[in-house]
Amino acid sequence: MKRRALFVAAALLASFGVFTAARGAYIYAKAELAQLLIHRAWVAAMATGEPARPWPWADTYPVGRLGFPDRRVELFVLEGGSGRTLAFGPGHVAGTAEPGKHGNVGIAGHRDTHFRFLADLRKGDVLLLESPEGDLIDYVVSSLRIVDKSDGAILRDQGDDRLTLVTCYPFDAIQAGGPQRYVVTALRTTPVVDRTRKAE
Amino acid sequence: MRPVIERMTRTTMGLGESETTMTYGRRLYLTQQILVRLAYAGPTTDEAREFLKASARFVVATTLVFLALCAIATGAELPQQVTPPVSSDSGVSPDRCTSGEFLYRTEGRSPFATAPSVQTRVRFDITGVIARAVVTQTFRNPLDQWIEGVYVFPLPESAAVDHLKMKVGSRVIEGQIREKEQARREFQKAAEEGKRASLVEQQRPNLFTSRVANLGPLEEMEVEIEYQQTLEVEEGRVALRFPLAMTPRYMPAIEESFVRLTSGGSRVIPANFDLEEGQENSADGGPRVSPTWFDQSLVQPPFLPASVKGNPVSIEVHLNAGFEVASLESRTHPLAVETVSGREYTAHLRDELVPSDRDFQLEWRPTPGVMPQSSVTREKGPDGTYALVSLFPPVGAAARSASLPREVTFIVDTSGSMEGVSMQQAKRALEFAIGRLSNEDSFNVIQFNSFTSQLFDAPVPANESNRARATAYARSLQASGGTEMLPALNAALVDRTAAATEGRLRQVLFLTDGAVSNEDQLFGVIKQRLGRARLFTVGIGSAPNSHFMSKAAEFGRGTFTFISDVNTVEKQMNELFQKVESPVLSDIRIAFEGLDANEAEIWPSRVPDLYLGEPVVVSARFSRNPETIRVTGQLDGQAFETRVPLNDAREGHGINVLWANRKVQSLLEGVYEGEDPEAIREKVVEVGLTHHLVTRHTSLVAVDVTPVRPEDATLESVDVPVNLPHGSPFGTLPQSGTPMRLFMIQAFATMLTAGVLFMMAKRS
Repeated sequence: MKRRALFVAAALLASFGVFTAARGAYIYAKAELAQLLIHRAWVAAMATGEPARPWPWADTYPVGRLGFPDRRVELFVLEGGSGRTLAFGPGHVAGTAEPGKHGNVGIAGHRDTHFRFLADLRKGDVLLLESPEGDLIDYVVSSLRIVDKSDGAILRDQGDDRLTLVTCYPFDAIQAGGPQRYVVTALRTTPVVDRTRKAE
Repeated sequence: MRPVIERMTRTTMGLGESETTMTYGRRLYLTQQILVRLAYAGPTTDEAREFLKASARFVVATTLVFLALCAIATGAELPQQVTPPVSSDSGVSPDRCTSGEFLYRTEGRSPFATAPSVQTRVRFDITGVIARAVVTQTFRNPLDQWIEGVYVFPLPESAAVDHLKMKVGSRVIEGQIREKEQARREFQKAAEEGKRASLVEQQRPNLFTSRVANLGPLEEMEVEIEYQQTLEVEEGRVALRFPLAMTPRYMPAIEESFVRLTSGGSRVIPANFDLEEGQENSADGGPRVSPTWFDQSLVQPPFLPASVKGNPVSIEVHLNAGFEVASLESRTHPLAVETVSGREYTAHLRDELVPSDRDFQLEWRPTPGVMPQSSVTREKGPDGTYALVSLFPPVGAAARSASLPREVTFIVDTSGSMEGVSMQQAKRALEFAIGRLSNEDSFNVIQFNSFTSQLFDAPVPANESNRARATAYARSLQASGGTEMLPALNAALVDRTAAATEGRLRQVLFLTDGAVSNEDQLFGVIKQRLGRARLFTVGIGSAPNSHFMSKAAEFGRGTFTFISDVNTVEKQMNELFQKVESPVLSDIRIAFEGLDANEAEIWPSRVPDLYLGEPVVVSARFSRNPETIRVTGQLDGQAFETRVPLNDAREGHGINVLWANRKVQSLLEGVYEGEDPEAIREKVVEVGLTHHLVTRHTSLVAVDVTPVRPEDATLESVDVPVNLPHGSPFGTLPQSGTPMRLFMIQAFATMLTAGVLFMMAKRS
């Protein structure tokens, strides 16, 4: 009898374990799968010149493609830095410069999925950013630092063309919602092709 | 087009598709294998057992490996932990860390160590229900360059700012009142010419900015602002409130259909505007639905990290209550009180300087029976006599008459700004309110953040089971997301049960910190849709936007209750309930006997409905003195009339400013009646200039005569960062962690226990 009870308890615990593991895996799967769908939307957007939604009920759309060739990282950046967006891809923080435009382009991403690679970045690494117009911009990492989450000033225009990547810190914290942020600043190296001015 | 894109993918990004997908592919393959085997495992139990064993082993193994990696990774990164700043005064940068592996900003000083600070001294002189406040802001420039500083600060919503003095060393320069644009031009010109200047502007009715130009290296400059205010009076107490902190405002999303035109073509602005994620801080959030007249970038100042407290404040109060005071206390700050006489007191903060992170509140009560039923304060001006009249209708005893059954809708703000103590207060208040409902009442609970959801589809009877359900719902509330208030208001105000609940009082109880920026739009909705409902706002948190809430209550023909302390929730909710349960004095009219209609100008022109214990407060200007003031109204359907004699009026100061401020408020509200904004503006400018009053369209500017800044020195513009409200979890950088790791570790621990149990079972 006792043996049976133990078996039942073990089975119950095991199924709960599987369930929890599945929840964790779901977060990861969602993050990876969404990038595939966004890729399609990105291609469509570039072909038509109109922003395209990656799935019909999406409340966001891709605004750029971020690459770190050294580590074979390729990510599609979505518009908006809300929690809902970040589950699917790095988010372009509203109010900061748009990819391909002059100014400070702010992108936030999850420390444990898309932006995990930020931990591997070193000063001097080259990042690539593709704009919806098809321009490709080189950025060189100039600083890596940790700030408090209330330090919104780092996303302001600094008078130059730069890329600011933000993720939670520490990278391996067990619980989400800590007060620290890891910030990567990269400065633009390729000369700016200002399409807005050309159009005028 | 397509081939080009494909080529770009492969060459420019420097990676082939197949290689990236391979690692993901492997994982996918493994998952698929499990699923496929599971599907085929059905027929024989042996196979199933084999498979389950295999997969269990697989899962345990993977988790073990994963955990081991975790441990190694976490362990390895432990020394890189950041030490948070400890001291508040030393200006320690929040981004200082102890590890040597990371680069710090060495090219410049930390933005918070170098930001100018403002020390504020406030002195109140209170006579009866009128307060005169002198606010002295000392700007300090810690830099070795010339700067222009901007400081955003809140004042009580009824504050009429009428004086500005700029003090540098021994020189004092008086501020002049100008039309807003002209004041800006004068300030700008002085700034460019190297002259010292200061400018005080109203950004919102309760939010002001002061700027100083040409503050030299390591110099100090004093800006002294004076304002006049009528105090909140309720039967039984008089309250002084001075806001010291600002809750960051949420700028709501633009409607989905809104299209912003950019040079690259049209683009839909996404509707997912999230407070927590700090997007409200964006300088350019695109166009707003409601017309805004304020400087968006100024309304949202930089906030200091929650761990750093700056901008200290000292407060001093001289009180001449006009009656014997039974108690004088502050619920928010410890006070040191000296008694001058039974009616006169001086008080100051026990701590010399406090950080400006929570609002200051002071209350005093008369010994029972000595509070006058009416009071008139007047002042002779060049163009007539100005008077402030307050009167308590003698209805206090008539509380809870044969009260009608009510239909109460609770709206609870569960947005990110409510997180922390505010949410605790709101939950307590809601639970308490639900408990106060009687069986004849019906009710519903609506919560909103980025989305709106309601507990019941329609109001339900407040029987025991429904109340229990609502209480459980209240306890489960959690704060996160944006502050999309409009759908919730709409849902609460829609009168679905009009026919069935003819005799019921419709009341909406709104619990929020009011951290919104689209106030005008919300007021419009309240005004249009109110119908027979009454809106009562309950301000929660250490720094609620009381302008929004008191105005919303005014438009909603209800009252505003401010709960500052979690310990007073029950007491204050109780008082609120006494109010909503007792009869209302409505249709109030004021007449000055012995004067023609055109000889007196009264503001507000329409007196709002009065609830239990609230006084009628009006200000008036008349060309010759009337005999008595007559107040009439409807009390529970019965005519009500009372008279106030004018011969025992007290003489006061600055009554004209109070009158002008009331007039400006009323004029500005004309917008909701559809009046022409330009015509309103002209009238407001005229009143502002005549009475030396800072309004939406007039500002005070002080300019020194001689230039001080050397011509070769440049002027930097620096915002003064302000404190986040006490207990607020606000951040401005996006939240970017997931509980994935937590889940995985939980899963591992559970599996391990399961495994141990399994082994035990096998052995026994």
